[in-house]
Amino acid sequence: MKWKQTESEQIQPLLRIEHAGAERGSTFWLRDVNLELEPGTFMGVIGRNGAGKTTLFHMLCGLSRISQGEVWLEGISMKEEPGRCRQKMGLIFDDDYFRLDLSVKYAARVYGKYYENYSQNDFLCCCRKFEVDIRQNVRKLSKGNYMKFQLAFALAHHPRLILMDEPEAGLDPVFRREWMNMLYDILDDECSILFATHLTEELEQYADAVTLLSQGRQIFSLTMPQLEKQYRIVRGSKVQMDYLQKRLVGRRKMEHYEEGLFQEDGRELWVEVSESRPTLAQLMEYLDGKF
Amino acid sequence: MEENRVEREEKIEENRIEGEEKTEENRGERGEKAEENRVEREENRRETKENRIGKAGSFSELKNFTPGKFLNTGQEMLIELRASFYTTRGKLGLLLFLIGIIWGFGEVTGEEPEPFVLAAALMWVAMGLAMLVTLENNKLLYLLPVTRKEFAAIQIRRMAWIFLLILGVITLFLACMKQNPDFFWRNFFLKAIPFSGAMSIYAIAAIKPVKESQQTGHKIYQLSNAVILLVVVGCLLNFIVFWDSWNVLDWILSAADYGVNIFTLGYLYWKFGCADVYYDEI
Repeated sequence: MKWKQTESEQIQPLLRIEHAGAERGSTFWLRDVNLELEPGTFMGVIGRNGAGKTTLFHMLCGLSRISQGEVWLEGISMKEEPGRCRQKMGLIFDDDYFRLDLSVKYAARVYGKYYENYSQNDFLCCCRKFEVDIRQNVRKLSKGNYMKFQLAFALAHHPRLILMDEPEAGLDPVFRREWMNMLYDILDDECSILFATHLTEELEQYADAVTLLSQGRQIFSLTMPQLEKQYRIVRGSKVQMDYLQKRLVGRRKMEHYEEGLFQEDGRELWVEVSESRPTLAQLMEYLDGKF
Repeated sequence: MEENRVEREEKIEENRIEGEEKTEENRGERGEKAEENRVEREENRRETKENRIGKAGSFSELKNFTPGKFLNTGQEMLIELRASFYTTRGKLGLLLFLIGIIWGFGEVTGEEPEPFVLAAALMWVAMGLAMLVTLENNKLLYLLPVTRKEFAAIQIRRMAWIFLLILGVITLFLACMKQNPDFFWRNFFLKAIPFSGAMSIYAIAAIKPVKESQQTGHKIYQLSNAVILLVVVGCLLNFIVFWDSWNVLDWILSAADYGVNIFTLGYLYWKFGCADVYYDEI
């Protein structure tokens, strides 16, 4: 665990998940997830479809039961006090949980009342900044504007943690880039973002940490520098790769050479192979199902 | 070659020793941090327990039913009402409400008002109101930062507002009838109050949540259909039967209707506030 220290005071992580799991009926959808998110951090959650990203987010925001372990937000237990935890969360989901027959302005006013720190003025400012028409019916907003509306609403109640579950699905590439810039702008020491996405390239640019899920289990949860240190892509001939076989996490045959994912074990590579930093997509490919 | 091999082996040995030292260090750090975490968890648990005791001592559940909160809910419903006028659903609700009012007034100002027709008109009024002010999104409700008990209280407050509105309409209808005050008061207490209560319960209990799509929504809190049927049939029977004749059966029917309403209200509150159901389990 990493602790940010200010003088003699220790600041706890904003979000701490310890051995958390979710089950529906007798089937586990997610098990033994452990991660920590420090204030002001942008963490991406990646994984293939069905890896458990949405279940993790549902568990965090109270839509799914936490059947194993514990989730703490600023030291408050999500199991014991879900209402208090939700006060500190901003939610941006792909589906239409907000869609009702209200205008943008009224929808925010009605639901903003449930949040202690909500400010309608802040909401209107954000809408102006994001160019969302406040008179428009929420149901009639375009996908992009609906996402911006959710972000404006989330920011208006000053959350400590913003949860985003694949909000970019179905959006054009220009908007996606604009969206990522917007998120980067709102990051500060107070607010952290947990972002489930398939946009691995964008994450490489913007994220401070990444968690990889596969088949309902967590493969890793590391900061980008840790990730860079821990994994390497190695390329070489078949003989060279055979030599390294036992130390490779995964391996595949290319047209003129072979490629593998090497996990740092403190020992040197004894063969001359070319090395490079793995992309998140490569990590997903090699590590899927490996636990 | 031999030198290189020896050098490489030395290097490997060095790395191994370094690795072991690091592992030991990490173990030590992890142990300390685990201890810190344990202490912190204990503190949080104690705090939560103290909060609970504090809440229990200050009757926190009763705080959900203060006049201020009741007025707040009214204001919230007013905003929903105003906004829903701009939507097709809201317009349809308003139309139903107005048709119910006009139909009902036509009936009560006529020569011999038929209770069955009046009940039908009032049901239109109730349906219109439900369409105008009923929040139709279950998922959002689960995401709001309120506890189950608070949420149950919100629903009961909304119910109270719908109850008052329907009761107001029925009272107006009764006042417009060319009958004596005795008739007015008896019908007010024995018919209007239980009928309004039942309709307001129905309006809240019949919310269809949006789960995946509006078409495939399940009943929000799985309030048993039998209970909904019981409350609606009970109030209709009470409203229609023995309209003019005052006998023991009429009193019994009204008392039973009150009983059914109180039972359903308690059941609804229990379902909202105490049922341990998560959205993904609906």
